Amino acid sequence: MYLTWQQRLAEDTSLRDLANWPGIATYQCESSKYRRQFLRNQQIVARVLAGDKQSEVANAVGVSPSWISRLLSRCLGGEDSTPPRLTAGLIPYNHLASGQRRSPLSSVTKPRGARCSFSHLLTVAQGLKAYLDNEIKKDVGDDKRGQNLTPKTLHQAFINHLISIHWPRDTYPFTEEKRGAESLRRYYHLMRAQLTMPKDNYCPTQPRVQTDRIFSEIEIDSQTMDVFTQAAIIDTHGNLKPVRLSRVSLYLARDVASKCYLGYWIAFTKHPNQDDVLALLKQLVTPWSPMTLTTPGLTYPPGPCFPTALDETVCRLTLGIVKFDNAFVHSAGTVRDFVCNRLGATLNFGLPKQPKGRHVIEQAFARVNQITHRFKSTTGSHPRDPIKESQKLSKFPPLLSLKVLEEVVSVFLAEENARLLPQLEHHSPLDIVANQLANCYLLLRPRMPENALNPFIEERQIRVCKTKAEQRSPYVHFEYLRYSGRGLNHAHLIGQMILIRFDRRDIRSLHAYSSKGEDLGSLLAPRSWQRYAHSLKTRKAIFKLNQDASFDRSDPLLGYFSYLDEHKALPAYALELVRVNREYNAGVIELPETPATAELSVSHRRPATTKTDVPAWSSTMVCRRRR
Amino acid sequence: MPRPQRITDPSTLETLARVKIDSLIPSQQATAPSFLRSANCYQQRFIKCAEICTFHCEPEFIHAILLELDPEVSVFVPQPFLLRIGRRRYTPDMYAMREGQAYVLELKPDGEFDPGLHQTLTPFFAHHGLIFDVVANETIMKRETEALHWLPLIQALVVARDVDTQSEEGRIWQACCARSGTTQVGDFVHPGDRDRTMLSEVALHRLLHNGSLCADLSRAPFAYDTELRPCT
Repeated sequence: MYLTWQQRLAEDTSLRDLANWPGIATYQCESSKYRRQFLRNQQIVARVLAGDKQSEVANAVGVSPSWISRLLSRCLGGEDSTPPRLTAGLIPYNHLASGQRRSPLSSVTKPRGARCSFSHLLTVAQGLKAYLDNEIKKDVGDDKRGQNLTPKTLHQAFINHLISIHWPRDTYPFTEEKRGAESLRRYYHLMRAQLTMPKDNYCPTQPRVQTDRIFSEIEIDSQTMDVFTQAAIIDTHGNLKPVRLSRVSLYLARDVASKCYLGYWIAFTKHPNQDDVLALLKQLVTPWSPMTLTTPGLTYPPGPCFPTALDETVCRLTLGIVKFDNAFVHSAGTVRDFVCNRLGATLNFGLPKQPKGRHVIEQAFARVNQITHRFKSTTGSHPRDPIKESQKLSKFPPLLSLKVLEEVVSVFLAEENARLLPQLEHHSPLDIVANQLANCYLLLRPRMPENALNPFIEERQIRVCKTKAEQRSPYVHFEYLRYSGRGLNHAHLIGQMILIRFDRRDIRSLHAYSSKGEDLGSLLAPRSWQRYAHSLKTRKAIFKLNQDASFDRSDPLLGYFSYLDEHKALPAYALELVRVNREYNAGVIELPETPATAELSVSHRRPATTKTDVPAWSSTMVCRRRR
Repeated sequence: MPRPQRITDPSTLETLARVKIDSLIPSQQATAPSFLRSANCYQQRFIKCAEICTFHCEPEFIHAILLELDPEVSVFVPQPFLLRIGRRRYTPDMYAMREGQAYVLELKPDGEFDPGLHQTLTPFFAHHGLIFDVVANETIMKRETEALHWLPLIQALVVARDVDTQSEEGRIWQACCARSGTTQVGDFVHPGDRDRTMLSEVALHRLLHNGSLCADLSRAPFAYDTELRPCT
């Protein structure tokens, strides 16, 4: 319903006070003439709203009373569903409504001008607007039935459509020289802009509760590092030969309140798996120990560098909410079990494609990239980044070794933890942690057995098998292999479920318990799989690769190693070679052993020097390469 | 548990016939991995729920903390049932047992819920002795700060769920009742030697959790000077 200005004032009495109208700076009026007229209009409206008679105001200002009435209608009148124009109506020559054609369209016999003809045509020509909108929508929406439109092609379609609906040839747009091309071009760009606007997703923003307690929110994320590295590998002739490695991934954990880096993990792959996440989580609950730095010029800042080195109690603090992104590995059962069951913390997967929800960790990666972008072997931030490694250099292995990169990251994060930050009122993150440890009541987890907080220790229920046709001892199936041990040599266990406990990093042996809790001792993998410590990931990789490539069955671990060695020219294989080399040399196994299995015990000796033993980096190495 | 209501109205009976449910025993419905990764999901272990709970949004998570802290609530289960209403599948957000009465709760922004579904579900659950209610997210999020202040205590209790503190609880309870002035957390926790007073800490947390002791954490987090008082 249309409201007159008097009705509008009766409906909303607050509009009687000009102070409630939106303000406008008079300099927005282009010239002094316009400014004068604007101030005059403002004065007229103010006086009428104050209660002066229109005739008196008209006499005083020198306009007619009807002109004043029109001005007030311009400012306050209009449909009740739309807000009044108010101050915008005071601006002289301001077009408040879009033009509308009242007369019929121009024709050859009765030319009437082309003003507002195009918008009028859209309303009178049957189905024209829907047709044009649909064509533009199909183009913008990448519909397979659409076409890549330009204003020219759309104009052709527009004319064809008018012909198809038998639009009179003596009427607009056929009466114009360009047949409405310019109006159509403007309409096309307007519609295209409207259709590409972001959708209004209703997402009410809640005021965030700013936490100042350390460890109440921890953000974790990974990123493929923006730099290529090399590893020196001794070839078959005994020569030291550097090979280019694929890019590694960096996992970081950072506390939101103190901005302190809690731990990091470099995964030797572009696609980290759950073991890499667990390795990072383990750092949150174990005391930090510094790396042995071999790179000249790199030193840790004095004192503890990570919170877990501050005090033993830091490893026992409750962790609050652990925020991940929605990567597939973060929802792994092992990660959920460790975070929720063993640490009692909350696991949170943020909304997809919303990295600003975890801005603290994203900011951390931006800082790390500042360092990695200094190396000549960097990839830069994007494919066209000018600092990206040149084609000339990319033909050879980079100078930066993997060991040096690990040391650089370790020292850099240590220095970041000790750096005074303005957002922390010029305290370092470690100062904040130390201060809260001393003064705040931070909740601790009770002391637990040594292995209780080892995320790599996993338990599974598994069935004991015995093949009647074979004269073999009972066994269990575990990760493609049969495991056996003296503890299973009991008839009552056959067909029963038992509990096995194992370390994901070394699955040469499992520890078994019966359903009643009796210790059944260790179960060992076949002898061909006993030579080197190997993880669940390596075993899966071997069996996956075994489908395509054949290995030496008598020693599949060495066979896999040799396969990688043969293909080390490819960076991804070279990186896997380095990973496997470290894993084979680690030889960790923390599970308890029973005397009964002593004769079948796993050989924990470190393997003899392998071909890929990487010497520590030194400046002489560079000189050697230059020669 | 109240006895199920007898329904005689034919239209209501017709409505009830459209609702299918496998079991009315509340059991957390599995969240699809794709959904887990596409929503702002939270996972947390609680004392009053037997397994790791998955919450599909922040208000659900905050609501669970508040239920955990409510001494009148004995158990709760998120996503407890899977109902089929005609062709539509529906999973309520929460099942909670409060003072012997089972509630089925749905959390919605502004408490706005599909009226048709509401009209179907209310008599259905009432028929089985449960009360169906819609809770506005905003009313829950008003207590977000308080809930997040209590969260570390719940997490510490989850990890210490196997620690026996029965005798220690009695000692702390008596000390709180006997003391004429205010009792503070620092009276039972030694800042310099936390290991020595760890059992007292866990016992204190349990008393706060089961409602024997009260503390106001609506403004400040747990601290050495947080005042404790016996709940009446």
